[in-house]
Amino acid sequence: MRADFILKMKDFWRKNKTKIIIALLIWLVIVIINYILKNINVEITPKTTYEPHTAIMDDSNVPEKLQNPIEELISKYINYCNNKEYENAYNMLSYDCKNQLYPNIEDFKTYIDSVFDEKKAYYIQDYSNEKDTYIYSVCIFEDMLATGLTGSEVEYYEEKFVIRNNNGNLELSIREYIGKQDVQNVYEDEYMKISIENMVQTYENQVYTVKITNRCEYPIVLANGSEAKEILLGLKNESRNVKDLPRGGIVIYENQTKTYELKFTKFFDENETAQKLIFNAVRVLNSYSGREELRQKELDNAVKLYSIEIEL
Amino acid sequence: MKNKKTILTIMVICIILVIIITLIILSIKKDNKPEPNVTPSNRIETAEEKNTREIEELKGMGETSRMQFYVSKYISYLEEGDYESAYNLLYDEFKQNYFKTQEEFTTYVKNKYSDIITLDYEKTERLGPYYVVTLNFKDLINDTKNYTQLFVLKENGFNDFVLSFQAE
Repeated sequence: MRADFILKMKDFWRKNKTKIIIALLIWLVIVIINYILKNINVEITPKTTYEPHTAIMDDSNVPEKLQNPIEELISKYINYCNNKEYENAYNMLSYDCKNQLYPNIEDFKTYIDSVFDEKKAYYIQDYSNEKDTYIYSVCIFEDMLATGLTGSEVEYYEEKFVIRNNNGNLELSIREYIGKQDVQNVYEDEYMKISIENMVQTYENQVYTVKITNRCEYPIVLANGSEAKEILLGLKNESRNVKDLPRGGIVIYENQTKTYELKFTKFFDENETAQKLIFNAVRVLNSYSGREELRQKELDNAVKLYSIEIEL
Repeated sequence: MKNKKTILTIMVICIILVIIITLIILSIKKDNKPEPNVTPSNRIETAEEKNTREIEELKGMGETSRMQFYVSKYISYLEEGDYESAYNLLYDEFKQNYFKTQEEFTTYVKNKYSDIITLDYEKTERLGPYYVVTLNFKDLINDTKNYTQLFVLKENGFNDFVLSFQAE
């Protein structure tokens, strides 16, 4: 009986020897892999909701290889500001940003002194990403760890820093400055000439520099706040009102040439593009006093009332 | 020749079995190690063991709970009279600004806090990597010692943090 069992076992072994060894080897490999995986020390870092390189606007991410360089760039700039190393901080700004916002370093110093009136701490949060341009919201506040908020509350100054990846070279702009474009579009008629010189894009606004020449003997009113939609920026599906009109409006007298900066809300990361500038209430008047009580009378005696659209 | 082959095969199998059994035993031994949060009652937990236990606890917490844990840890030191450990948790520049020496800190703490502290976490706000925890202190005996205090924290890793507070 026993001999029979042994014989059967031997026979089974002979027939299945290879399969058994392979099965054992596979099992061994699984056990070893399991053992190794169990013993790998994976460093777990605390999870937080703070994701500095994920854009608030659309959850897109700044490329991983740029995250550290961007952090270092901003840190270096803030350190210069904190240490009042004005020239070093100034030199970190992109050429275009310097030229447009602070053509001389004295203005820049005033700005730095107003923001960094004491040593400040900060944190960054990616706000929006458009191709090679990364807009970070930078919150600057008193070093609350150093003060423990003693005698103060949680307050911060927020500014958008723009970082452009120009072929691997990171260019920094502050105060949400994106760039400047030459436009050079001109409108002319018998009464005036309007020349659009350039457009400055910040994250939130477009600012058009417009030169207006009065060619006639009458005063021309383009905007004085008396009507709702005097100057508009025309987009494909909507129009936006001009912001921050100069005090006294836009009024050009005989043979005068004046330059204005017309500001409109137009976000850098919007899909719609600006298509035209609309001067919706051009008033060529016989006389203009600027007085409310005479407004209707002056309009009734107007030489011409019309509107203009200038393609961008 | 055939016998030799069989012996060789049996040896290979034996070696494989020995390796497997050794690995299994090692694995079982490791699994049977006492849990970090189980401290034998007949001995005092070392600082390292305590740190390991706390890290394990913290790993299962969200960020708000972790911040509250850190503040509680600081308060526990005060309650235990371990002012040195509490002082060591403070941010260096904060110490420089308000408590240059541990003695100054100890004097402040003894005057500020009641012997029995009752805490109520009002809210925890995050400002980037910083956290501001608003804490209500209640004195069950003396109502005049009820007040709110803000704590500012920054976490560098599990159980690795610095803090400061409204030193008023």
